[in-house]
Amino acid sequence: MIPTPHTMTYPHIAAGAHACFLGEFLVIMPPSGGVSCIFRNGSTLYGFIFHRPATQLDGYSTDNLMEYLNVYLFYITGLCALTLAAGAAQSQTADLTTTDPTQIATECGGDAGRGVALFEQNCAKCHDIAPSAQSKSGPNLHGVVGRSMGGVPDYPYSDALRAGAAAGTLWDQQNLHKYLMDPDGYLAGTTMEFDGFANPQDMFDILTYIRTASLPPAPERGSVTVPPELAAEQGDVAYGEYLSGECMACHNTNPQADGLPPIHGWDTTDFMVALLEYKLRARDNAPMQMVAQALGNTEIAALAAYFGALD
Amino acid sequence: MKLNRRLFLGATAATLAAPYVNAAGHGRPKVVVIGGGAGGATAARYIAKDSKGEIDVTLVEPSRSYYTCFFSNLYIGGFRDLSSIAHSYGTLASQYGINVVHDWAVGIDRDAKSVTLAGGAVLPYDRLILSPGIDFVDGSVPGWDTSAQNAMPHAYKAGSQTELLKAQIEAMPQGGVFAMVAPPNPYRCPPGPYERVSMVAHKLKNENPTAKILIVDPKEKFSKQALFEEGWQKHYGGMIERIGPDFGGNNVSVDAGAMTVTIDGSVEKVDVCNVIPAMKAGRICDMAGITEGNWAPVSGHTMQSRLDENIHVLGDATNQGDMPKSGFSANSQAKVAAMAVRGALTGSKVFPAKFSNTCWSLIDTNDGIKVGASYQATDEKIAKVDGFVSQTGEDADLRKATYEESVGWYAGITSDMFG
Ligand SMILES: Cc1cc2nc3c(=O)[nH]c(=O)nc-3n(C[C@H](O)[C@H](O)[C@H](O)COP(=O)(O)OP(=O)(O)OC[C@H]3O[C@@H](n4cnc5c(N)ncnc54)[C@H](O)[C@@H]3O)c2cc1C
Repeated sequence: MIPTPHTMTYPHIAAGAHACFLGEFLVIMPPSGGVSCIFRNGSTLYGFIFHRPATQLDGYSTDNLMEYLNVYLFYITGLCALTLAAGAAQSQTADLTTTDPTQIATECGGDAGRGVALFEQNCAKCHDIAPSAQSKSGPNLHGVVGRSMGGVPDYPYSDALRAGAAAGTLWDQQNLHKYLMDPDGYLAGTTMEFDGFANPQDMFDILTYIRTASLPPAPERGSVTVPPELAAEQGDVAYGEYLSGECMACHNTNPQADGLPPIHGWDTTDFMVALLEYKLRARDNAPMQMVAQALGNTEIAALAAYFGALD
Repeated sequence: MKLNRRLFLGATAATLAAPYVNAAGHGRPKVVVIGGGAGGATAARYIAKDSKGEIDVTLVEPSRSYYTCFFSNLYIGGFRDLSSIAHSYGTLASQYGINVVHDWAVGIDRDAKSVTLAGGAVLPYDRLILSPGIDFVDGSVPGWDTSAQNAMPHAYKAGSQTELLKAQIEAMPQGGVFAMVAPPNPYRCPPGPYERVSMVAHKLKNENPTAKILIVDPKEKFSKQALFEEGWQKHYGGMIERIGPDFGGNNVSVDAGAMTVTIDGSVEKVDVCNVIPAMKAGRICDMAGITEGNWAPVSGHTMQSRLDENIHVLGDATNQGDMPKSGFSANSQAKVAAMAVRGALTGSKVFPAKFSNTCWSLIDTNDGIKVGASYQATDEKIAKVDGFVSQTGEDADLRKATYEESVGWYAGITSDMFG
């Protein structure tokens, strides 16, 4: 079902523009031609999602165009839901503290494995991503997500990016999305030679890869301490009892038995540190890293409380 | 205050009145578990243990000894003896107060909520848990049915079948041929057939080095394929040949009398033939009317049958989504079901379902590999969240550590199942 465009008045939409809602998107067709999209949640309008100038839409009939938008917006819905969940514009860098690859994939909405290949194809000619690599013709992208525009020291940025840097604009995920889908549309005057991704999923995959490749190295074993948020958690023993089932699939229920190390009766801090070290990859062992990465603070505290109370 | 686990377990006397009304209208709510394997034994133990006597648990299992399929390949390879993979139900009965009944379930009346046993007893239930494992699909390998299983063993239910297969391998003439007809997806233990080939090769390399192993496989690809093939090349170069569907591996029949395997029209005489047919949910699921196609569909949130909310199905018999059919998976699913059943019958707290699986395989002495994943429940299925797999070219120390870890896991999971 394609809704009929009708005239609306919103302060930031040029007078005379046609606009319509397509699912959760407000689609605007300004008198100048082209098309823009805004995401709405109820009556609140969120930032501009993308813009296609009239020149890129030559040859589209209205019906075609709507169909194109439908497909396109379907992809973007996932991203918007993520942004909303994070609280609009609130978490600039908060989400960057995680080192959990699964969490990163969820936050970025992509697949790092696909992203590697896409990075090679689309970005690697001009950008390096190794931690201390020199910039190529484009700036090094290690850690670009969350840093300031124009953030690589000594790189000869365009005026457009310098202006962004001066204004304190961050390369948060939202800005990167807009930039990567339509570099010139988002940042007139950028010198990046890239037309933007046609498929948003490619862009999500690349960002997932960039975030993953930008992870800090694993901390040293022995250097991890329990962060105050975790220390403050009241471990729920009943929850711990349920979660312990996963542990007992391998660790023996009889603490004296041979096999994998017993985990009963540990000091709660030691228990938390052990799980955190697996989670942060300070300790090797793929199954334990996987198990620990699926545990949040509540779960770690619950397990520590449960096992700590057993002899 | 410190909770003492043993005290806790000791106090399972039925002193607590159940706050929830059950089928009979009085007494403790009743759970009947059919099948004392990886899923069923675990579920029975967790319900009894965590409900601390509030729920009456009956476990129905025909065998007095459960031989784990896991590590049964290691028995074939000579890394374990048979008694080390046999487990009894004594502790479940004595320490956890589970009523263990050695009999077959032969009928389920879903309206009356009761199970009939071969011996004639009728067991009423408030919740029924089915973990009967697999049965074979008739006719999936033309020429083979269960009457041929002595000539051509499947050894896909452990115990006498496994012993038989091992004895046949030992009786092979020098330079003879061991053939395996591998199963189509989905089947119990995705790496199982290929670990078995590795273990047979290990044995033959020592006892019958000119023998050959032929795998006839209907599948394009198989679990941990690159790792197995690398290992086969390294340890058993030239001994193992696999015929995939490109070369007729999907067009196979056998003749148990003549000991031949016919692959795409060409007849091969073999000395041992391990036929692993296509699989389906254990027959009792069909009898209960809770299957769709070959498997019993379940909700990942609780492991409840999608066709009857009073029945939970576990392990190999289920169609649940992304988890492989493994003992580890069945054990993991059992804990989710145990929590859901306790919640429904005694009002205990219920938490979001969470699952994991790791499958270790042994390729040769101290050359272990593993694959694993974590999962969560969505409305639609059990969905994979994250995973890992051993890499080709890993160093010997890591492979040895992986094998040792699997030995530790075996001790852990069997004590988690049987107490
Ligand atoms: C060669 C091989 C190697 C394997 N290796 C591994 C491994 O390394 N790791 C791993 O995790 N998994 C492994 N598996 C898979 C694992 O054994 C199964 O996935 C697991 O046993 C499934 O558990 P279940 O509870 O569904 O069934 P089962 O463990 O088979 O238990 C089913 C039980 O139900 C009983 N039963 C059936 N019908 C009835 C009835 N009508 N009434 C009463 N009782 C009944 C049976 O007697 C049986 O004891 C392997 C399997 C094979 C064959």
